[in-house]
Order: sequence, then C-alpha cells, then structure tokens
Amino acid sequence: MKTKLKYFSLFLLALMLLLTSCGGSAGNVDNTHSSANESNYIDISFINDIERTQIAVGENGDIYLTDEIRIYILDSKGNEKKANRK
Amino acid sequence: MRLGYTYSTAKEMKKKQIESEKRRHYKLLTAHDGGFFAYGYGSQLEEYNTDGTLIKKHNLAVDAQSIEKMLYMGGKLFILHHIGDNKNDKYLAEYNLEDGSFKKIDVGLVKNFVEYEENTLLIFLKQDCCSGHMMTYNISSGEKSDEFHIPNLSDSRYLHYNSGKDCLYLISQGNIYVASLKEKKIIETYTSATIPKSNTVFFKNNISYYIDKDQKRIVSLDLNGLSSSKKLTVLCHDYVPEFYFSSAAYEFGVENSNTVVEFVNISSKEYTSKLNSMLMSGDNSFDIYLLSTLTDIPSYYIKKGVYEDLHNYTAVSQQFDDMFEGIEKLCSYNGALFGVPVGIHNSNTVYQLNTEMLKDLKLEMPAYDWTWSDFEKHAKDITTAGTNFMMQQGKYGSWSFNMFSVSACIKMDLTKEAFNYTKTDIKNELEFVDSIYEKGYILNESRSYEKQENLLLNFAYVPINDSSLDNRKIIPTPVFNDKRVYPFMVNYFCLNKASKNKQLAAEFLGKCISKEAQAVDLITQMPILYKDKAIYEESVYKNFITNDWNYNVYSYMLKNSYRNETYMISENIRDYVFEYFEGRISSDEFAEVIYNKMKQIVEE
Repeated sequence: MKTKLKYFSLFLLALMLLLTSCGGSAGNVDNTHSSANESNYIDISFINDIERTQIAVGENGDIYLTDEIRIYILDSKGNEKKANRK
Repeated sequence: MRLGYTYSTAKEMKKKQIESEKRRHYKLLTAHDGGFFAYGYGSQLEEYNTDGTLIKKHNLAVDAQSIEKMLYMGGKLFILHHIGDNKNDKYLAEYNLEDGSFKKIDVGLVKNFVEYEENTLLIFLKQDCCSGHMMTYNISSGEKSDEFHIPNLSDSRYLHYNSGKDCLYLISQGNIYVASLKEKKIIETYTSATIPKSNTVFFKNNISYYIDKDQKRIVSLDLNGLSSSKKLTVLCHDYVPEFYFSSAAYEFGVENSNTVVEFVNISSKEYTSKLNSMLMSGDNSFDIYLLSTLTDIPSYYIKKGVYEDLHNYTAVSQQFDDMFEGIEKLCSYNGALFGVPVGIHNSNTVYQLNTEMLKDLKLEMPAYDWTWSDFEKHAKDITTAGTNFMMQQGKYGSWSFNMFSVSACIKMDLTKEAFNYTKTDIKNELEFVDSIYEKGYILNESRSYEKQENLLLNFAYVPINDSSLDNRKIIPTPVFNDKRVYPFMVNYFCLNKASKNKQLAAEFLGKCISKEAQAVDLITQMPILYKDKAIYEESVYKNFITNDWNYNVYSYMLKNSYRNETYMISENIRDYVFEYFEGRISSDEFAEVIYNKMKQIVEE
C-alpha cells in the first residue's frame, strides 16, 4: 500500500512538473489565426480599455499596446517578448 | 514605471507589461528600430528599448493631450499637435532626441503627415474646397515642395506611403484606397471585410495592423498582397463612384469568407472608350462593369451582346419576382437580363405638387396619370390672377425634358436601330411648348431647386435620400393622348461575359439588389426596388414610400417606365433647340435638322 502511495505521489509530482512546464511554455504558443486572405488575428481579450488602446509595431515585428496605465509588449505572434534584461 | 508579467488572457498567455508609476494612462505610441516611445497623460515622454527597458524621459514643449500623432525619423520625433482646446488648427513640430530642442515646422494648414521618401515627410493640408492637398518637406534641408493635389482622395486619419511602389494607402471604413503620387490619382480601391469596422490602425513594413475594437483582437493585413487577394473587380466611374457600393462590398465580404472587392474608378471622360475596348477584346481582368445613362448609352452595349444574361443566376433573377412591375423590363433586352439596377432616378419628368396652393385656390388635385390637356385645364385656374404658374423652367428644358426625352423612349429604339419620330411629331411638340409659354402657364426662367410658393409643380428628385419629400406629394409630367411614358435615368451593374468569377460576381450583384441591402440603405443613391413597403421601415426612404399617394405614383411611373437614353444624345441637338427658341430658325427648319440628326444617331 505504502509502495502504491509512494508511486502515486511520484506520479502526481511528475504530473505537476509537466503541467508547470506546459504553463511556462504557453508564452511561445502561436496565438495567431490565419484567414483565407493572408490576414492574421491576435487575441487581445486581456485589454481593459479597448476604445483607447493604441498600437505601434517595431521593425522586428514586436507589437506595443497601450491599455490604461500599462503598455504590453508582444512578439509578432502575439506572445510574450523575451526579456533581455538580467 | 515597472516591469511585470500577467496571466490575464483567456488563453493563459504570458505577456510582458510596463506599468505607469504615476498610475497615469498611456497614450501615443510610436516605434522605431531600437524601441518605442510612449506618453502618459500630462507627463513626460518615455523612451524604451525593444525589451521594454526605460532609456530616457523627455520633457516636450507640448503636453500629451495636445499631441495627435508622433513619428520617429532620423533621430527626431515629428509631432502633430494643436494648441489648447482649438483642435481645428494643427501644427507640425520636430523634437530632437539628442539635444532636446523642440521647434515648429513652418507649414500652415497641416492636417496629417506620413513618412515619404528618405528624410522626407508627406504633409496633408487642410483646404476648404476638398481633401487631397499635400506637399513634401525635407527634414534635413527644410526644403518644401509646391502644393499638389490628388482629386477625390477621401479624408482618412490612417495613411501610409510606400515609396518603393509609389503607393499612398488610405484606410477608411473597410476600404483601402491606393493612390499614386506620380500619377496624382487614385489607382485602386479595395473593400475588405478583414478590416474591422471599429479600429485603430498602425503601419509597418507595408503591413497594416488594426485593433479590432469589437472582437478585441489585432488584425494584420499585408498591403503587398492586396491585388492577389482580390476576388472580384468592379469597373465604375466618378459619376457613380466606388463609395456608393463599399458598404455592400464589405457586407458581401463578411458573408463570403472575406472576399475582397476591388473597384477600379475610370475617369468618366475615358470610361466609354476604355470600357468599349475592354469588352470588345474579351478582357477578363474585371468581373462587373457599370453602365449609366448619365454617361453612356446602354443600348449600344446591349446591341453588341457584351452582357451575361443574369437569368442564368438565381441569386440575381429571383430577386426580381418581388420588385415593382417595370423594373425587370428596364433591365431586359430580348428576354435577357443584361444588368441589375443600382440606381433608378427621375428629376426631369417628376414634380413636387404644391398642395397648399390647391387648397388656397379651392382647386382639386390633378390625377397623377394626367395628360397635357388636363394640364391646360388646371393651368387656366391656376394662372388666372397672373401671379401663379404651373412651373418654372426655360423653353429648352420644357422641350428637352417634357417632350423629346419622353417621345424618344417610344419613337427611337437604339438597340433595333428603329426610328419612328416624324418631322411632324417634332414640329407639333415644339409648337405646343411655344403655346403653353404664350398662354403664361409656365414661368420662362431657369428651374429652381427650392420650393416656390407661386408654382404648382416644384422640382423633385425621386427617390431622394434626405427628408425633402417627406409629407409632400409627387406627380409626373403630363403625357400626350394617353401615351404613358416616364423616362428614368438608370445605373446598371452588368456581368462581364469574359469574367472568370461569374458565379461569385452574380452573387455580389444579388447582394446589391437584395431586400436586406434595401432595408439598410446599403448602397448610396440606391433605387427603391421592392413592392413591400415593410422592407423600408428603417430606410431613409421610409417616409417617401410609405406615403400612399407617393407609393402609387412611383409604382405607376415604374410600370410605364423607359430607360432615358437621351441625356447624352440631347447634347448633340442642344444648339438647334436654342436657335429655334431664339427665333433664328423656323419650326420647319428645326424639325428637318433634328429629324436628320436623330436618324443619323440611331443608324450609326
């Protein structure tokens, strides 16, 4: 019984590690959706004040979005821009 | 400012974010190779590198609320701003990021600006006459070009110039207008349902990015791929321009997998010759073409058989079942449906009846199917005191609008090259016009477009999309001897026989004349097509068509309608008409000249 419990605990631990790992890589998921006419969509449902949101795009395709007191930086796929700072 | 991470999206996305230390809302973003600039309300301009590290804060001489646009070029920020609350007067300034100097650029009447060629801005200028005025400004030398103009350029907040292609892009309400600065004209217009209705736009590397405010998403559209993404091409001209149809094209795109509709606007001066050669050569670069009685004689094209019979497409042909009687006939030739009506108008043989005058004089309403002899009976009562008249127009107008264009509908058949107009007909009509002026029934002055209290018949334009005919009654021009003929100007969309997209094009035509399109006025200056008044409950035509009298008159006129193709022809005989009315030629001479001229036109 104890052995079974031990294996079960290890299984849960492995599962949690797997889930955490998956969660951490979510930022690299391609968040774009293509339409028939070569246009792409990036979901920005996290924006609070969509009416006043402004957008700018950098030379490298990075997307900058204002939202109230925040500025979001997304890569061209709509994912987290990897921070260079240490 | 602090950096942070959030997990706030539905997709559990992880995003980098910058948060204002002063809890002030950010606005005004502009980006460049090394990062971006953002401005908090009333605070300093913040300069960041690409990963969001704050590089520097700048104190500008203008506050964030006054700035409408910023653009980074050559180490400087170019800023469009206003002063105080006066948002009508805008100014252009440059801010040097190195030394912090801020100076006004000496260009007046600025409206907007974009990056043009290297070190050069393209500045859009405000003029009272129209939009499309601009000049260039070299940011290094300060050199300014002369002002130049691109006609018919719509007023858009979102502009972008691609110097490599010499394409100026304007985004406005689902449309992308593409203009050439070298040619100084709009070269293409695309309507794409991909462009969100409610949006904010940014351009980079010839890609347009839109914030779709309704769907909360960013949509990107590559401007380089516009021509390859199009599915339908429509030829039109400046008398019936593309914006008349852009809403219909947009809705069609929404319903048909974002089908892009391209409109090619050919100058009305060149339209006839270009269309003719394109159709005759079997050109398949377009799918739909406009034929308008304003600029063309549709019969010439019909005669040549260059149309696709739309009876073969149920998306189109079924729509005619519920339309007013007469409309299908206006669009048919020898049993074939050669086009769909995207405009049916009358302003020359229909009037607004002055019912107040009839009431004051205790006179009965004329019947709307009245004849010229009824007209004369009413005229005797109306004009007795010498202060009131039946109508006001010059003799040329009375002959051309009320006689010639009416008779020509039944006495000339340009498709069959038949001509039954006799010299006696012409002479009699001319002398009748003279007689009603001699009797004082008509005031011999130019037509007035404003309602005159002393006229029984005032100017009307049917159908009109403003409220000018609300609670008014319309009446057609009288006819001779029970010959019920009411000419209408018609704009048709026809399907190119050589089109590679006939089915899709036919579906677009079906959309243009659909009940749904009619109900929401999807086409500008659209005709009223359907018998069912309920369709127009929310339409601009509601008050006009739900009025029983006007409904009956309109349906009666359509039932007896003819395509008015004399507008172009009458230009050829205009001088002779004036010569007669100015007493330089007799009615016999006039009839001889007109007869020969008309016969020549028909047989050409």
